[in-house]
Amino acid sequence: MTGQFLYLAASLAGVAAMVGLCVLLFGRGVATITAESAEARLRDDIPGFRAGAVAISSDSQAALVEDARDRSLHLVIARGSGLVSRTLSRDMVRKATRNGSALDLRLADFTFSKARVAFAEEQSASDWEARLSHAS
Amino acid sequence: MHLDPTQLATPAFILLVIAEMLFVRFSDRGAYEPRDTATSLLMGFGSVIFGAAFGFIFVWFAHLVAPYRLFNIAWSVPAVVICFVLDDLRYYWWHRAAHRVRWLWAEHVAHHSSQHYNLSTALRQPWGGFLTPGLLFMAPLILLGFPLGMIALVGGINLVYQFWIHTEAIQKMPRWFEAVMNTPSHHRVHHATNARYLDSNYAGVFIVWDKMFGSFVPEDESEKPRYGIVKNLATFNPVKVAFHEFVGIGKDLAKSRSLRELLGYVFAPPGWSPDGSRETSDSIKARWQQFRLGDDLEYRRALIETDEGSSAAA
Repeated sequence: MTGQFLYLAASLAGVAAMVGLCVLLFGRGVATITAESAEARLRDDIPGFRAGAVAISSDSQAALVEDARDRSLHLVIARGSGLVSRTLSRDMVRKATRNGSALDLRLADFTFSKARVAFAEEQSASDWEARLSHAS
Repeated sequence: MHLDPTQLATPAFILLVIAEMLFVRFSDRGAYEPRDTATSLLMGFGSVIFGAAFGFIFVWFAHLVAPYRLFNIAWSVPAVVICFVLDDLRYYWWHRAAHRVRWLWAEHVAHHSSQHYNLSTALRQPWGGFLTPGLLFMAPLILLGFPLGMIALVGGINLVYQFWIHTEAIQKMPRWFEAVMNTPSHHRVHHATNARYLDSNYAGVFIVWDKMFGSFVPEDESEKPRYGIVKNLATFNPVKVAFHEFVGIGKDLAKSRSLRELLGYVFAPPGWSPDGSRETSDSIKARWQQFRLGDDLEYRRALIETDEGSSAAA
């Protein structure tokens, strides 16, 4: 039993050492979002996607993008060195609340239940909240 | 004596991951990201724990089926070779089903959830096998009469083989090898989410199964694979990665209103929904074809217009 615990502890220490080496070699890769990268992500995820209005959060960690074809709204967020997108459909958005210049989203997604898009100006948050209320 | 090839190969796995990290750091081929790597390694670690905890299910199932075996095949080199080839065929069909049946996908999706493709991705092993009926695919080998130890051995060798093909460091192997064996190039296609690559190259060791059963797609140098899943996960939490699709099935079952919906949510392809509002790989491919065709028509129209313009100018 002690041997098994030692084996498990050594394995975890090995995992930690390898992750440490990875950080040393590659740094803590965190993506930043631009209008181009958000659009590229959505074009990859949705065949035929054409970007309409785009809003990038002030920390460049989130973006709201409209599909010019059908006015549907999409969220793009940075996760590690990659980007992840979600279509903000009626079923997906549980709640959208504006807190000053930030928009807080509650999503029906087990791996992605909360998102915050902080805008530079309150007006942008208000505009996108209105768009979201139309979408949902 | 119980021989576990994956356990024996673990030190080599670790050394090769470190070697690939160094290669990627000093070349422009491949990518590593610490949090993604941590998730993959922890999932590999967790799969050993879950394997040990639920291994008794395999033993129980094997002993349930074994009394009905047709032959008693003894240990010999030819028997191991035949068992290995048949087990790879078993792997192909399990793997194909794991991409086409949501219940099985719920386990397998964990392995595909990284947006990177490197040797650590090979170690991103699922934890939820005990929640699926994947073991049923083992039944033919047991019924043929192969010893259980032999089935476990060749399954382990199959898994060890599949480790090295999870890399962008190797572009192509020699032509004869690419024709017969599963390679990094073939398996990159399998892990890609590009519409043209979806649901292809299910092979474990021998790519010939895909060629025989019509699921082979070669890597197109003009279209670099994008890795991950159609709806990429926004988490690095290994527990969520391992079980999120089971949670999704549970939620869908809770709101299903008929037997058809209930069966569809469990047995239909991932992304199936009663009203067709969600995306399946088939619908994505169809839309992509449509879009490509549209693009092609626009391109041809532009060519004709240009041609007419230049004819008029001449």
